Amino acid sequence: MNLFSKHLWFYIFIISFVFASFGNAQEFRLRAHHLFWKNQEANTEREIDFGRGVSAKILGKYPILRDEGTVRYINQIGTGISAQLGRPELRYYFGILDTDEINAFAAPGGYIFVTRGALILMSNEAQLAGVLAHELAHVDQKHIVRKLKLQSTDRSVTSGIAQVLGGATLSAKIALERLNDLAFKMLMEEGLSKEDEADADQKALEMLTSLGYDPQSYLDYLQSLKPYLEQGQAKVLSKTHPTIIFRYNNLREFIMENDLENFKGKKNEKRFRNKIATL
Amino acid sequence: MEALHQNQLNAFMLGKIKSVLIFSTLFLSTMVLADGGLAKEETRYIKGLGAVLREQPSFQSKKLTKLSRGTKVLTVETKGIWYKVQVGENQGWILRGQITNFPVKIKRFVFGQKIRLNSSSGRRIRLRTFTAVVGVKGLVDNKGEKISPYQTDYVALEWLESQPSDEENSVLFLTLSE
Repeated sequence: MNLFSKHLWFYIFIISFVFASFGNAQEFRLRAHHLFWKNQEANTEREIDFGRGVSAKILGKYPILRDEGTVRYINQIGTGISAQLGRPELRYYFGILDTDEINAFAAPGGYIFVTRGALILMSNEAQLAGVLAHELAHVDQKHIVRKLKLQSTDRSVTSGIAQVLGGATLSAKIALERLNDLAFKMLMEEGLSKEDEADADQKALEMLTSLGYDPQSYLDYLQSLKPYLEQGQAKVLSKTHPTIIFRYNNLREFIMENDLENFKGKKNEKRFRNKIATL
Repeated sequence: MEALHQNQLNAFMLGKIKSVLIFSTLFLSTMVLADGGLAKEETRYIKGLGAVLREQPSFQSKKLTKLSRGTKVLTVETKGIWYKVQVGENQGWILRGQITNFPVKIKRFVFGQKIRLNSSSGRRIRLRTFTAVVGVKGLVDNKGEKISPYQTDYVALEWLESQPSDEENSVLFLTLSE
């Protein structure tokens, strides 16, 4: 019987564990979540580190606009949205890319960029908020990180991005650099999936409504992109996003479902015009 | 003879332990799964600033109270983009985007090891060790070949990261309308 006594503590542990979970299943689930707490925090840090690498490449392609007044305005709108509806554990950064191209980018970890060309095309603050909210949704849903995990055929990558990013050796850094390149290519050439873009569009509209902005303005902005899609100015955008008709219909569906037909929000046209006058 | 008997007993006990382990695992996992699938009332948390509890699921409805980031709420019902929640004695509606399933974590920043180096203009700039090397030389592998075909600009990125940002003021700025 000495075998039983050897495992007695083990039995007690299992039984107490089972009884502990009787009390409140929700509490138990949370406790299980706490076990992964530390791991999650490390993952967030690695996501930010990964996003920094991708952002540095975006800034290597397009120069940053060092117009502090306009950047402060974009930052205020973006931070206002992220503080209310974004991930609370992230600090978001909003930058303007000094190019005539019309586009906006989101790198993992909270780095969001909008081009000067896109800002000039916009006619009010609701449209700006809509574009920033769309990019915020990509960050919140971790679209890029998720797609990288699925697409890769490399076993070391499929076993988890965090594992690769956590390494300190040169080979780990080379792997990280390769992943960065994949993410950058996704932003510039391949694009995310149709479903991810549709999801980000709907989330953007939900955020706009939540903040009291006019949701129809975002649809107007999409329509105003149409003439530029064939030209060079929005080439990257048309290559990496679904067609405007698809996006428009997807948003109309969301408006009908949520009864936003008659929702009249603010547009803040004057404030927008004043703030981006220097561009 | 005695030794053989002991061995049989050992094998029997091991089988017992195994079955207990399997059953307890099954039991625990069904509990967790059943709870996730069936329960309607759940504890959630306010994730954002400026969350307002309203009487009805509508923006025109009366404001009951403001809820701070991290507050525990019990969700009772959903309707479109609204959640009906119970907070202490108050019951009201809140936007679903302002609620999260897990407790709110503190903000994370990535502060690496900083080093100092001179830029071409003679100004001293601070960069993280690894990114500085990549920024100046480009990352190379063992054979000395460049790994990434793309250019990077970490100086511009650090400028962006140094821009001030204030969550509370920005939320206030958004609520203002012309």
